[in-house]
Amino acid sequence: MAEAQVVDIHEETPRERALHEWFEKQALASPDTLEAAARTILGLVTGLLGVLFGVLAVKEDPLPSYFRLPVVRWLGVGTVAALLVALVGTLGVVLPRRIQIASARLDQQAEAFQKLMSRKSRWLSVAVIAFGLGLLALGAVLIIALLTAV
Amino acid sequence: MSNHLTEIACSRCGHTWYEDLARLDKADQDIYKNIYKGKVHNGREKTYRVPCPECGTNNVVTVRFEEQKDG
Repeated sequence: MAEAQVVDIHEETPRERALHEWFEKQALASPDTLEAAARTILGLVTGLLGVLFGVLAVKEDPLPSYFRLPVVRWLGVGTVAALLVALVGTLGVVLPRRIQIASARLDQQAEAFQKLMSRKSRWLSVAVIAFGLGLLALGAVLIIALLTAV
Repeated sequence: MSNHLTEIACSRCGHTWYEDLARLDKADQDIYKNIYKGKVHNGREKTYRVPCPECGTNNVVTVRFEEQKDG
């Protein structure tokens, strides 16, 4: 059996109070957080279905001449892949998971807050790098398309 | 008396009382954020937010748990 020994008692500091209040707000905002995540997925699915139907429609028409260039095709593939990775990265930032915490445990709250920040910043870094690469590839495709258009 | 009852003295008014730490350890708050589930650990040292029943001051209490050796 573990013996409990009080090693420090102090009055709550403003920083500790702010952390506690932030978790209280998050607990109350949980329904809104879940709805916002569902709306994000809904918007993405709608948008991606639009893209899919757009691609299927393009397939039936004769493609522009620049689409025959292998560099344009590969840059296009790279753009799609990079933007999809960026999309997954942003989902990693916004999609919630259920976390159970003791409201009286300040150390758990502080640790959870640190992990939250660390995870969000990691996913956002992935998203920003992928988005940057996708943007570069897209720019290259557009420039080639403009230069080769007759 | 429960083994989890710990004597606490208010940092402001000095009032002393016994608090059940097992009750404070119960996960009673659900939040939805994107951190890995179940990664919040229970170390040997825990920090609790305990309001004083006398003056209402929120005390931050750090408790160290040490294994009792038999014999």
